[in-house]
Amino acid sequence: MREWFDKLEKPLMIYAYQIVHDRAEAQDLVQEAFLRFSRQKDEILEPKAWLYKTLRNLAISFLRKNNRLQRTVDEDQLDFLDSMNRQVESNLITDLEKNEAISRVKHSISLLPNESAEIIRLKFDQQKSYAEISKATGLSLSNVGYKLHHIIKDIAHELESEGFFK
Amino acid sequence: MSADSNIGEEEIIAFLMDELDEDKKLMVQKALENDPRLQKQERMLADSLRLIEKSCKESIPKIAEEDWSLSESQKEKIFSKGDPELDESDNEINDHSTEGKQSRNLLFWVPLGVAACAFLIVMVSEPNKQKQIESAAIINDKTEETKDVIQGKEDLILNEDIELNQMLQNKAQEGVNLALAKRTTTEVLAMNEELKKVPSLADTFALNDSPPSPKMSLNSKVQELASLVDPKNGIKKKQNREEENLSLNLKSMPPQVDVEPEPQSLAMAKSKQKEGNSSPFALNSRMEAEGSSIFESEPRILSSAEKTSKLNVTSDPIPVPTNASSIPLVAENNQSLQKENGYDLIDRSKSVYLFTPKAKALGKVKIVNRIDQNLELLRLLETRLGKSTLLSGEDYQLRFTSDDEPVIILVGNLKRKEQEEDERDPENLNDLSSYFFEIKEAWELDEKEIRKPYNLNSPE
Repeated sequence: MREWFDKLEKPLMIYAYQIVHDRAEAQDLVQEAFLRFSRQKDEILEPKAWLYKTLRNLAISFLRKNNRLQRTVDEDQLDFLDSMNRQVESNLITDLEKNEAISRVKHSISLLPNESAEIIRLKFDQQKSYAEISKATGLSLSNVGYKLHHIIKDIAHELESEGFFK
Repeated sequence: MSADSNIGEEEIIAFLMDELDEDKKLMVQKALENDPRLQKQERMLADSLRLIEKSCKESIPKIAEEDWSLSESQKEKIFSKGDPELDESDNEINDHSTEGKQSRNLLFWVPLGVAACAFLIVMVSEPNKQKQIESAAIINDKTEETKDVIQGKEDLILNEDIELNQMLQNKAQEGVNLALAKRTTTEVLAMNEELKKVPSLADTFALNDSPPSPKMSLNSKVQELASLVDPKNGIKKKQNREEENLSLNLKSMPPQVDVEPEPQSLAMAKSKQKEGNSSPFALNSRMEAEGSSIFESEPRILSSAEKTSKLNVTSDPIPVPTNASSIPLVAENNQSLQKENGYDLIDRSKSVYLFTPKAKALGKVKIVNRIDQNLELLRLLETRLGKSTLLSGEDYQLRFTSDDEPVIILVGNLKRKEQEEDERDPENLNDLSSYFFEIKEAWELDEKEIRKPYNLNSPE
């Protein structure tokens, strides 16, 4: 319990703040997530994924209670209707989950060290090759590949463990 | 990673990002077609890459350098709630939460205990401060010295014990005050008693044999001085030296003793004026005679030193007594006092009580007649409360009490007066029986209820 708290207190606080944009609310949400974790920790196989998933659900519930999420959904729905010309409601839910996944990935990237975050940015934002990234960062070609693969694998496993890939 | 083709996640990621050469790309492509597990991995990684790519096209939030942690109360709540469900593998966590509980208990109980102690100290110390103020007002010189000593020691005491020590000090001072007040009162009463008391010959001898003490009267000093004076030779030579000794002795006496004996010596001197100036009391008489003007001009009570100094400046020689022996003169003086006070004390007594030889109270009596040592008395309340008439007997006691007078006890024979029926006057005396009481012994009770022989002489 203590180990997971020391390890995930800061990332979870940042993640909650990135969702609700309120520091006090983020603290309360993280506290509630750890309280629930303390009550169910014997049944939890992957504590990190469980804590992230629980915290995300708590944050969404909080936004819904405060009519902040509904407005966003409505706006997204209007945009979607305008752009896609009528789609089913299930697709709205899928898009919502997709947004959650994107938010989760952005959170993971924000937690990366500057060097790793720069490699990700060069690769996915600027569409640089390994060689170009190697040249830009001064890292060896193999080292760039190794770092990139590890970052992507970690994010993929986090998303998978948190249920984004059903 | 596939066992057959040695293709794993890293190769799939490189394949998806188009970072493989053509040979490896074909090999991965071929493996993905044949292996559903690799296909699943490929889908997961492809979705992740798409999410990452989409995320990177949006702004990545920057994390401010802030304290991204929960408050202490929230942490405390988390770990306190988690305690009951912690298993043995989380001993470290369990220990931590126990410490949190203990610290929380201390945070609650320690301030509460301190506050309670402070309240008790304030409650206890408030009345003591009042007593301290009151006692400080009545402190005399000796108690002030004691207080100084105690206060000097008090500086060494810890602040925590100041209140308690102050309380003890106040109690000690009160005790000292009481003791001093009691002793002073006793001494004053003893002085008064001594003035009223008619000393017997035995008392006089006892007084002369006893060593000089602060309670020794000025009269005794004068007698001692007079006894040392040669009536015919060298009186003037010794006079100054003896007066010096007297002044020294008087100076060494406490002030309260210096003041008190003076009236006694004057009274005794007055009583001796009838005897003439040939006795040593002529010294007192002369002192009184010569000092009368001084006392008139200075009505305040003079200290012994002042009196002695006035005595020393007197130029007139002291008259030489013809007989230097003072003891018979004192006896004569006592006798003269007894003649004045002997039976008068009994006659002045307001209440008289009759007691059996075994000191059993028989009630109040009334002295109706006295002839020498024979008293005729009526036993009051004889007919009440089932009191019966008494038979004759020996060693009955009569106790005479009066205000500011010592208790006089007369021991003697009680005899019922035989009366005829016609002699009785029931209207006035309620038909009481008359008794005769023949005095055999006389005693006096001092303040400590100790009997002293009372020299009871027949009045003239």
